[in-house]
Amino acid sequence: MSIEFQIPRNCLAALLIAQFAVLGPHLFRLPLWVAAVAIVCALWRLLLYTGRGFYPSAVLKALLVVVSLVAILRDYGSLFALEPIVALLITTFALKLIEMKSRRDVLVVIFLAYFVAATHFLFEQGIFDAMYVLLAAALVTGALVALHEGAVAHRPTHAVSTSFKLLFQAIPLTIIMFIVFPRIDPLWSVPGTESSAKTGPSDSMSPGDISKLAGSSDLAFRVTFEGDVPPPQDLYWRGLVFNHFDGRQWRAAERKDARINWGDYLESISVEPSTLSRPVKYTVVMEPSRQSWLYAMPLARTKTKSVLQGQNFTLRTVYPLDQRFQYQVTSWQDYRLEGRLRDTRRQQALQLPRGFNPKAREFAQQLRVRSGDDQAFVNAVLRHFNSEEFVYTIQPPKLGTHSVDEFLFGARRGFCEHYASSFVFLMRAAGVPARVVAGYQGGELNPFDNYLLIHEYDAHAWAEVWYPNKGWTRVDPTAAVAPERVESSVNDVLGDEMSQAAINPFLNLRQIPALRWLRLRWDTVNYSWTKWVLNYDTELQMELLENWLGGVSAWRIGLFVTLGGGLVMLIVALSLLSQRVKHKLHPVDKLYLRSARSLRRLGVERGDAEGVHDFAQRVANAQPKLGDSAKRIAYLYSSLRYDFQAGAKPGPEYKANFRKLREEVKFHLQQASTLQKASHSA
Amino acid sequence: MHVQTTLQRRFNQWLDKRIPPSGEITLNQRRIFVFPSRAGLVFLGLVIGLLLGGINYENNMLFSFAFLLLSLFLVTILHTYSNLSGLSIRSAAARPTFVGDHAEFEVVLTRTGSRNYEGIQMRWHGADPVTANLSSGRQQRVSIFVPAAERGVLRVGRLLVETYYPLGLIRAWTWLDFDAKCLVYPKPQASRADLIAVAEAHKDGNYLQQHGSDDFAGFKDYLPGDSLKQVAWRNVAKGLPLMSKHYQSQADHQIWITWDQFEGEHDEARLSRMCYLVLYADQQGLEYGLRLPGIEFKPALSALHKLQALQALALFGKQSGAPGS
Repeated sequence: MSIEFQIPRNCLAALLIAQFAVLGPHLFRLPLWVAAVAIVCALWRLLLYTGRGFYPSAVLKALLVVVSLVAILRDYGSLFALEPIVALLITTFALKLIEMKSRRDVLVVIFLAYFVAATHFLFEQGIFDAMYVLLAAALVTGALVALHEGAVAHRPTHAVSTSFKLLFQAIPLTIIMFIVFPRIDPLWSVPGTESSAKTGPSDSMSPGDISKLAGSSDLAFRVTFEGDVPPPQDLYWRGLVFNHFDGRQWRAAERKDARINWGDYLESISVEPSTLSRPVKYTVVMEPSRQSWLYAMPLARTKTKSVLQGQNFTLRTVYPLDQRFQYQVTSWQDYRLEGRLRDTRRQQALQLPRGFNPKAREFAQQLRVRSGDDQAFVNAVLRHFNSEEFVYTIQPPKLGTHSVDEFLFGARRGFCEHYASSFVFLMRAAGVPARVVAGYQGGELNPFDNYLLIHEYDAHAWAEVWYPNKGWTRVDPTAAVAPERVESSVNDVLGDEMSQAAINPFLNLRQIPALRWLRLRWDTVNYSWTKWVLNYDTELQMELLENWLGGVSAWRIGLFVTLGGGLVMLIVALSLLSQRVKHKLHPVDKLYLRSARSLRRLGVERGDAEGVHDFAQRVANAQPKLGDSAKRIAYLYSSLRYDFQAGAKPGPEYKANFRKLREEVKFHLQQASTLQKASHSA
Repeated sequence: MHVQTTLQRRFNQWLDKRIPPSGEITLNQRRIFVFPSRAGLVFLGLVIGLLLGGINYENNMLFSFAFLLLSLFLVTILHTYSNLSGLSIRSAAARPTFVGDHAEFEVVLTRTGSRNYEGIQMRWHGADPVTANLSSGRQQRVSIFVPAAERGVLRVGRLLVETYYPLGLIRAWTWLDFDAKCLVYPKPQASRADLIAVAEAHKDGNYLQQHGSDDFAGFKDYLPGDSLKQVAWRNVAKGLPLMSKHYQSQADHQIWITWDQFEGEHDEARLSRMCYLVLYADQQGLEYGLRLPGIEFKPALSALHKLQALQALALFGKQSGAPGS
């Protein structure tokens, strides 16, 4: 190539716009300097385009790369996580922009842009995210089209509209591939996101932890039941079981990776299968919590692969959830869990730190003696919460060293974790095995699609008490203080308080009927998206193919792909073949051609390259009656087309001539049609 | 080497059968070849990368994006193909040139349907590609320049017509044989010695006198081949038909350009100098004759005469003027 390559203007414009479209969503999660680098590189590119800039030298390029690498390492500490890798990719992408010299370089930048656009999906996968990335991909494709358009300048929108057309045609094929492509297990482990905030209850519980969640209206998970939705008082979503108390904080005492075999477990903790009845089946779709515990109603069992059964019949995953996660659960509402408690387990369930809360210990022991049996003791404690002046509040006062004492005999104001914690403390102090359970309670029913939405503000803590032979039984001390909490959500109970305290002034707005309607409608769409697109897996694939094709076999799928894909390609091919290009005619040409065409039926046809005056002469010879008007038309035509400057604003003279031509053509057409009629009748 | 030439010959034979030489060729599925370009293969690599990401992250949106790009690739095959299909190409003209210059071959692109054609690249072996669009009008003339390295008949062989539009991922191409050829004249070469030679051939020595400066003899109807310099343009401007100004020919304005003048130089150099003199004499308006071994043109001065003289120089020593392939 002897001529130096110059990036076509339309291509550069599309590329720069595409660059920012592609980077846009990333810039919010990356350090600010990355955005700065991208902007500087884009400006630099513009300077280069106008011929004023200089290409960076090899030394400068190396320096820029090293500086970016150091900056990334400084910000993230390591390269093996998603964010630093994406930051690196984006910096490379931006820097590549300023060293583009050849067509090949432009292609590299464009391909990188596709890649950067796709990485957005590693962080977000909502409907709007999908639409946004599709739009960004259209712009990138537009740059690719502009690179291959011919030398003749098109309007800048031409390339982008072409790319939209291409993408539109590509979508049906995409859907077919999406449906049939086999979903195989990961081939190797990949770096996940690190910096994202964890949501939901954490692996320990101190006073104030759950109340913090009450201000958040973020979605925790959705549940679809295979039947009726159980009543609110049954909707206790167990997540974590806390056995160990250090005076302030509750922790889980179990080994994290303990994976329990269902059959062994039943034996070891003596759940008699015969007592398992009233099973409820449902599907849970968890939002990414960046934690590894899952939520389910007791007594839960799942067949979903990669879900572990924890020791206390909680569910968990091997890795923290970076993405939405779906699992199927069967819960038995009538169960007997650990009818006989082994000694080690009993000791766990009675553990208390020495030297804390002496008043509470004494109170518990006295009450236990007065109560007679464990069941009566539990009821006595609950009665105590109910009859004394305990307040259920989102803003409890801070508690000191003897937190339980201060709460029970001093402040008496607390959120669910205060009640659960104190209750279990009292139980254990009196020798009754008990533990704290954290999770969610309740849920908002979406009437449009009959599923439950569980939000962060539904986070809850309650207790489980062990009775001989009956096993672990749920006791919710909060219900003794604020029974309405169990029937409805926390923001129905404490909404006014929360908006007054400015914890989340918008929580109340959520219940305005119109807004609620909109929110739930939209959530149905979102949930379907999650269920059918984001969580489309082998199981769903098999089910779908089974339904559609009447069976899953290689030849059926092959036939489906061939016919479906072939049909799409055929439609595209036909649309290409029947493509019509409209050439805009000059209004003067239009008038002239109309007059010329009218003579076709009289046997005088104008040749493609015939001059207007020659043609007028020919008309005069063949149809003398039309000769004069044809000549006048030819004269007016050539005057209008050649006497006036093209592109200039038409003056009064031009307009007058144009009107004359219009009149003349009208007259001409009339003449022609009369002549034609005459020749017919003759 | 031998295998390669055999293969090349076989391929050419196959191509001749598939796309026989012809004056005007309309491209259709018989003639168009389609295959991913290098960029297309890299693009497929990108798709595979995204698929691996989708598998490892179990991320259906990454899958979708990979499938979208793959579908784009598939759809583009049709677009790129149809960007050649239905295009009619004809070789219109070939302008002779001198050794060391570029010969201009003109081809005409015509649409047979109503479709637009974008970024059609055409290239003759050894020449720079030319890009053309057919987005308005029915026809488009395109000049393709081919470097002329050797005197004689320049045969350009097959014209490579290719397109990467719209995405550059697919290449659709064809080789067309128009049997296009043109003459390549010797490279004109001047020197003092040439002028001396002219002077010697010129009896009274005033060889520099402009032809017709004072020997005007009237008008004649213009005939094709008459020098455009002699056309009476002033009369044309007045609306009169084309006329040539006619001058009385004079014996002492005649020169002979002969092979023997440049004795001692090798053949190509001789032809080069003779070529220069032909151009020189024509420009100066001198009647000139040309004498090559076995060929002689009587002194004359006209465009046709010049063409004949140059053709003789171009083909001198080449097999019978039109060497077979």
